[in-house]
Order: sequence, then structure tokens, then C-alpha cells
Amino acid sequence: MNLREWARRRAGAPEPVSAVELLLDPRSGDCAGYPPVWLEGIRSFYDYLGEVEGTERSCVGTACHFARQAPASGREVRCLGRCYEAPVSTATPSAPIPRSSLAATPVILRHLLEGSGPAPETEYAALPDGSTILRAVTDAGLKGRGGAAFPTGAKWRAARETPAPDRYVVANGHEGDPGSFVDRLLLEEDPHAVLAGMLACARAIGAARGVVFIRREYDRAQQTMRAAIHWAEDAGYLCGFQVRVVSGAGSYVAGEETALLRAIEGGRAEPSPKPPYPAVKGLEGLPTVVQNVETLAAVPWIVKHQLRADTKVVCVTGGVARPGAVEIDLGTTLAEVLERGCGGPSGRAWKMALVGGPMGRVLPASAFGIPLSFEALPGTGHAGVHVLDERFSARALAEHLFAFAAAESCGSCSPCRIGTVQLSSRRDRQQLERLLTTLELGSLCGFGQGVPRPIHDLLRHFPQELFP
Amino acid sequence: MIEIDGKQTPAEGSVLDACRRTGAELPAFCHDQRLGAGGHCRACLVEVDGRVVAACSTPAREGQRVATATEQLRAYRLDLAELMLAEARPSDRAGRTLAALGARGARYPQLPRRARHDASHPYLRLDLERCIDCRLCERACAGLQGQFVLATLGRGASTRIDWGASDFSATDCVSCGTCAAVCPSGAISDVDRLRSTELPEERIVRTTCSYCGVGCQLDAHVAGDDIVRIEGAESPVNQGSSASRAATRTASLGIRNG
Repeated sequence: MNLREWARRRAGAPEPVSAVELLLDPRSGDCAGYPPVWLEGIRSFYDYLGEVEGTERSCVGTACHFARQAPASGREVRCLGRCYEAPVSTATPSAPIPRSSLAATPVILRHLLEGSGPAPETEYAALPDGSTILRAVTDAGLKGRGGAAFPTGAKWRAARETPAPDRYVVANGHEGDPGSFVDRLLLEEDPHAVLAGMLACARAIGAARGVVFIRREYDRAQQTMRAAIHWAEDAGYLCGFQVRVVSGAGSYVAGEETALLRAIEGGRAEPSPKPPYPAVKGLEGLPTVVQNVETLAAVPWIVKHQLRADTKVVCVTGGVARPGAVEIDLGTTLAEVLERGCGGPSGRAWKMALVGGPMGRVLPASAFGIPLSFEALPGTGHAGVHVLDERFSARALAEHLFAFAAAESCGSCSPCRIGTVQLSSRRDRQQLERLLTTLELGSLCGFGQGVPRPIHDLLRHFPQELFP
Repeated sequence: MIEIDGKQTPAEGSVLDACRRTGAELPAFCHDQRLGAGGHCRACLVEVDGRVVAACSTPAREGQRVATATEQLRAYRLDLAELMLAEARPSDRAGRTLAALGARGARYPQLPRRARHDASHPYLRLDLERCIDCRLCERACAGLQGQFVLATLGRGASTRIDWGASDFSATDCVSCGTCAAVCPSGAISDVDRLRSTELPEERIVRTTCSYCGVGCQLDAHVAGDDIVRIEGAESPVNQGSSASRAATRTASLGIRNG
């Protein structure tokens, strides 16, 4: 018997709220049939459950961490997606996200740049039948933009071909990587592109229901997406496709697809071993396609134009004159993005860049000529770029990454739970490398497996600064 | 067929199942056949066709070649064991396995102890200092018994199993003993088991429970003429579970080894 079924029987309720939804509302002291110790297990996993709404938190994401001179005071949050105006806290309102394009044909930001094309609402009606959609997405060679770069068409086909009474589409709007804000931009300012992408996926795989999972830090994105769903339903565009918004509750690992499904179900967002893959067995045991928001936003354009969409939005922060979201053709060099897209250095000379967040890569300034693509620079995740100038040491970046890893490890598997808190205790290179290997080989999910990636780069490029 | 360290076995079940069939020695702390792969302990890593994967959650496929004891895997297991000893002081099966892997608990600084002990329950004893967070107790309680007495609290390094009350005896525990039976670390034990560790000549006699008509198979642990402990046995009827009255009332059963 699962937890929700147990609660349903205890409370005698026809359809109980999920435990996370229950706990997100601190006014309710009711257990709704859930065993109190399990509720405590869920509450103590997430950052925001049981917290009074409006509690101020200072952002300690990568951009804010390095922009702030003194340590942050009070409660913390790891990234509000406002890295272009770092350092920030939840007490101040957000400035609009700066956006631009170096791409020959902007796809992801097609509705968000000046003088952009037809209204997003036209994209619902233009969607063809499911088979045509699946063929277009497959032929376009679309790959997931969330970090894993998995072929989207193959995932959709697996879900479609798994016999099941129903299927799910889940939009992953849990943009946890500090330094990335493209999902927030899309959810807040172009929710119809994301929703039309979900509708296309639903048609292609034969799904009747969808969920947009949006992190708790993105209040406004949740509101705009809810409004967009209402509007599209009322206008008759969704043709019976039922979509709801589910809020995260504060956990980086909830962005991992199997953990995300647990979070939607209201449990602790801990990853489960694969197989089974969500495309075969996901929400409620049904085939579920989990797709990043940015990937979904590209789909209506691909289906309409029957073309490849080899672009990516790169979020640039730190030591550049004009931080913001820049859409680029894949293969554009990092130097070009920083110079042409972001106006070059903001003052001091560049030293290095963290590309792809806390599980990404570190490049020294001498390597900025590298093209940004899935092939040339594997492991660059969501492709947020944080540029550090010569004031910052490699040791400081390593310590920041160690702290992030220890704070966000979900604790489900032994190497990551115990290993991430031991990273900062390693006194020589050999000890550290041995621990990195254990994390990489043994961890259950991409979090623990990915934590060593930027550290290896730091050891390669700045060995003296890590272990003088 | 699948090849494990040069030995052939049918490609059925998981790679861990296949390893067990060929007798390959592979540590696995969080695995229970009835619950499926948990993927928590990460001790059962093997190399399948050159890729390192967890044996418990990898389906055995025709023609695969598996190596269980490469240099890399040995070094990994030792380091994992050292990490585990920085967090907990397991006894029982887990403690013996970690020692056999060569871990001494000196490689990493000790993490803050999780000093929570409980002796309030008539049959169960809990000592979280020994707990290695394998989750078997929680999963067995929920997944095999349909109870939700034990739950995991916290996140990251503060993750720990708990029962939510100050005294374990104040919980809704039905005393089935399944948690103690699956626990590999000695963190949850039953009083019978605690006593039985002092009895070197203990042996196991398979018997049938006489309480009701279901016909659960039980393993009676016998020392001399006395039953010191009863455990649910692997059988199609009860699959390792047992009713609380069978597991905890050994004396009242009046079974004698015949």
C-alpha cells in the first residue's frame, strides 16, 4: 500500500491532497490521514515546508555568492534566477531578465525579442496530428536542453509504444542550477510556447494529462503558467488535455526526473534507480515524458517549420558588461558569446568560467575559444555561464561547490550522502581524487556523479591554487 | 546466458541475482528480494561490458560479461566502506562485511554521532549509532507490512531513520519484527536475537506456524532444546514475513525440536 492510499483510507477522503501540498500551507495543522512521522520526513526534506510565507532569504547561488562582499545574513536560498542583478534577496522585486540573440534564427526566444513574430497563441491551432509531430521532432534531432541532451524523439517514442491506459507529460520547470534563468524567462513571459509544446508532446505520445512542475522560488512563473493554462482551456485550445501546476518545495535534487516525479506525488524528492525509465513507468506507474521547459518551448516552432532547432539559450552572469540570456547557434564559441553577446569584461580581466552550474565544467580564460555544443563540451548541463575575474581564486570556487554539494545532496545513497560532506576535509590531491572517483562511480543519480566534474577541471587547470 | 567472472548463468532477474547464483561475493546492504532494488547503499557495483553499474538495479541481459572484482571496484568498495564507517558503527552482517572489505574507519573524519537508543519496546531494541541508512526497515514496514511506523527524516548528511515518538513503544508498531529481520546493521534488533548472539551452537529448523490455517513457514533458531528466536521463512505463503504473535511469542508456541 502506498502512503497516499493509506492516508485516503485513514482520512476517509476521496482524493487527499499530496503531503507536500498539505505542508506547503503552514496554517493547516491537520495530518489528513498521513502518519505524522512520514509527514515529518517530508517536511524535513524540503527547505520551505512549514515556513511562514514571505520569510526573507538571501540568495547564495554562484553569482550572488561571488558578488557579495560579506557573507549573507539570515536564511539562505540557493538561486532565485536573478543572477544578472546579483546579489539579491527575496525582499527586493526582480528586474526584467535581459535577453538577446546571436542566433541566425532565434527559436527559443522567438516571442521575447524586439519585433518578434506572430502571437504565441497561434501555435496551439497550428499543431498537426501526433504522428506528424513525432516525426518532425525526431527528424529535427531535438535533444533535451535540461542537461542530459537525450534525443527527445526517442523518449517520446518509448512512451508512445509502451502499452498503457493513459500517459503523462511533465514539464520540468525546476531550474535548480544556480546561474540559469531561461526556464523562468519562458514560464513568466512565454508560457504559451511551453504549454503548446506540452500539448504537442501529449498528442505525439497519447497523453491526457500534464503537469508543469515549477520550483517554489519561482512564484511569478507559477502564477503566469496557471493563468496561461486557464486561458488556453477557456479558448478551447487544449482539447481536453488536462494540465496543472505543481509547486516544488525547495530541493535541488527535485530537478532529477525520477526525484521530480516523487515530488509531484508529494513525497521526498529522492531519485530512484533506472530502469525503469519514466518514459516507461512514471507518474502513477504510467509512461511519463519528463521534458525541460526550454526543450518544450522549441517544439511548436520545430513542428511548424519542419526544421532543426540547433540553438540554445545561454545565461551569462558574473564578470561581463551585459549579463543576461543569450540565444546562440550551437557551436558558437564561448568567447564570442561573452564578447558579442555580453559586451566583454565588466572591468577586470577574466580568469575562468563555470559553465553549466555546479555539476558543469570549469574553463580557464585561455580556453574560452571552445565552441559551446553538446559534443565539444559535454557535461555543461543547462549551460549557465558564470565568469570569474582575476580577483577570485580556484580554491574559493571549489569551496563554494563543496558547500553546494553538501547542502543539496538528498542523502538517499551512501557515497553522495557521506562523501559530499567529506569533500572539504581532503588535505591533498590524491585523497580528494579518490573521493571524487567514489562519488562519480557510486552515486545513484547525476547529482553525486556530476559533483566531481568541475572539481576535476579545477585540479587540472589550477592545481597550485587548490593544494599549494 | 550471462557471464559472471567467467562463470555462465541464465540471464534472468537482475545482475545481482545472477552474481548470487554463481557464488560471486558481492556486498549488498540495502537489497531484499521482496522489495526490489533500493539503490541506496551502492555497495554492489560491478562492471558490465566495461561500464560500472549497480548490480541490484541492472537487469541481466543475454550475452553480458560481468566483472565483480576489478582493481577499480575493490578500491571503490574499500573507500565506500571507509565512508560508511565515518557515519555509523554497524555490527551484525554489515559490520562484518565492512571489516572484510578492509575498512578500519580511519580514512575519513567521523561525522556527528546519531545517538538515539530505545529500549522501551517489549521485543525491539533500536540503536541508531549502528544505522547505515539502508532503508530496508522503512521499506519493509511500508512495503511488506503496510505500516508506516518508521520513516526517513532530514536530508543529506542529516538523513536518519526515525519513529516520531520519544518511546518506540508509543508508536503504532504491531511488533511483527520484520524491521529487525531485514536490518543488516544491528540498528534494529529483537530481544531474542540479542540473546541468541550469545549462543554459539544455534541452528535453524524449518517449521510451520500452528496459530492459524495460513501455513506460514517459520525458521526456528534452536540452541540446545530451546527455541531462541523465530523468523518468517522464505516460502510462497509468507515470503519471509510472519505474524507478530509467531515472531515474538516463541515461548507460548510450545514447539520443541523433534
